[in-house]
Amino acid sequence: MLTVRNLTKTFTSGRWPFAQKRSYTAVNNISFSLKPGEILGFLGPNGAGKTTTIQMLLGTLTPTSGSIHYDEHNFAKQPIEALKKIGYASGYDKLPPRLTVAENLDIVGRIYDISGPRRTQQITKLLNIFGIDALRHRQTGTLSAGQATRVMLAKAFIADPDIVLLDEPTASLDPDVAHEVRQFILAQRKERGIALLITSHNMEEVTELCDRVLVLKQGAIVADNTPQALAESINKVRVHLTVTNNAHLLTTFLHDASISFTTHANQFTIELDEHAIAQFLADLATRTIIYCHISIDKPTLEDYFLTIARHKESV
Amino acid sequence: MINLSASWAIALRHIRMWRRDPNFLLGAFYWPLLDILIWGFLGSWIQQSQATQFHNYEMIALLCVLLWQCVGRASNALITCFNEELWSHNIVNLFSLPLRITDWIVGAIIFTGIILSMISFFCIFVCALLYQISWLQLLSAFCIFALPLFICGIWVSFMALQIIVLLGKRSVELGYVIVWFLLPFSGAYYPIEVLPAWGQTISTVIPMSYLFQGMRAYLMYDQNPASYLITGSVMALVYASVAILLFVCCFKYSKHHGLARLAD
Repeated sequence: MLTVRNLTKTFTSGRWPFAQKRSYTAVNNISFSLKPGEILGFLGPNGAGKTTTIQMLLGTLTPTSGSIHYDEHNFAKQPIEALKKIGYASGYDKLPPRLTVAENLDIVGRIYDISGPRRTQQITKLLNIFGIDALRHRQTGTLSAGQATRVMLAKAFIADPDIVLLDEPTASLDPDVAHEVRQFILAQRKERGIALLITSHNMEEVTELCDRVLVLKQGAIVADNTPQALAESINKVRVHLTVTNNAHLLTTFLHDASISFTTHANQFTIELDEHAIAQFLADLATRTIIYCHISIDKPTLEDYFLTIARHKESV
Repeated sequence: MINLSASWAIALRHIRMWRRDPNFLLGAFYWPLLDILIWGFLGSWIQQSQATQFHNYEMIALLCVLLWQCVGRASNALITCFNEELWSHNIVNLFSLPLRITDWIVGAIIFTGIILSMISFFCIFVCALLYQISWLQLLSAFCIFALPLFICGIWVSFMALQIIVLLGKRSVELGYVIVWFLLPFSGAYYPIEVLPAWGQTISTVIPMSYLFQGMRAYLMYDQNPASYLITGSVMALVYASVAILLFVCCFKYSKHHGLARLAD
């Protein structure tokens, strides 16, 4: 459905003769594909190249090299045919503020060349789905961030697209509305087999929605796997202990062993390698450190993301 | 190939916006009205001096105001069509839809044509109301010169848009200034003969100067304006076509740096 090959974007800054030209590669030779019905997550720290990639996929930024194909359409040669199949919503963009919600969606529908009656039907359907029918005649500029996001999502789905690109789709939504949006996305995938590419900083959302996650770092893809597999690639687990006796001994032991931990009163959260848990518990017993409660958190996608982000900071 | 549905959507987007924004409406109707009052009464006063070289001056002064709207107001409205997408952070949204730049150009020109027609009819109505002139003669003379001058407005606006599409928001004011730079050399309010030699040289390459000369020859001296009209119209068409072509090239070049940066 979507095939991206060796996509690269290099920006050059500085204008001769006033400044020396400098090059910066925002996206570095990335390749991936998106199959019908697949939901692909795009993760990475700020500046990793996610938005740059999405802009290239939308044609608002020309790649330095590489190719993008939507089905049989080469995006460089047939951008309009490809864009007719794509819906897009971003938390960073806005719709004309003076126009009402219905007027804005009507304009978008006309650009997609949707006929009058179907356009009206689609607008009503989507406004109901996203719970904003009451806002139909409100000017878009007067909406709250969450309401505006829902209008943008309605815009993305107005032409019944085959592929939807969503940049932070639920960033400013209340949890219950965000949940409804996720359910809508999953239903669209099930009913119509649409493919979605989503960037999000909400790791739970990515884990819930995405079949596969691409992790970008400094413009390159550093991982391409399921959210679960990525989380499991982190060996660290978090052990929560409520210590009833010899808490000071535990603190000393953790310091001596250079084990990362946080503590509040007699509660400890300790980061350990997964395979070191048994030895750690044995060490507690040897030191007569007694605890009344223990729980172990498995690594999540967020842990994976933090590992990547921290590594970036140290580079 | 142009998708008329998409073009009309662009025109409609701006019509809906102007309808709701008192600033735009005030700007569109207030300045022409002020020009009509100032130039109309000035024209009446000069005509009352009964100097032969100022024959029919009141009519000419009013027509100059009306016809300059076709250049100045059209250019202003067209540039605003693009700037509005930058101001409302809608540029990426808009061009991530199946919208060709040519669809946008046609839509913006349709909108400008509509808004200009409204302004012109309003101005002609005000002229007929305030001054002792033949509004029919005013209307017929206006109709002869309005279209080529509107094309001049398209030329000027797309020259300005070339700069804006390359430099973004920071060049918006520069875009509006260009048309006013051309005004002194266009012979809109006075014959170009009063300009110094270097000014007249500049006027020879400005299509508006031929059209305003033609208008003066037609109304002041009852001459046939055809030769001026043809020269001015052909120049305007060529200039506008080249300006639009260059704008499309600049738009494509701008995509190498990303359209999103234009709104920053």
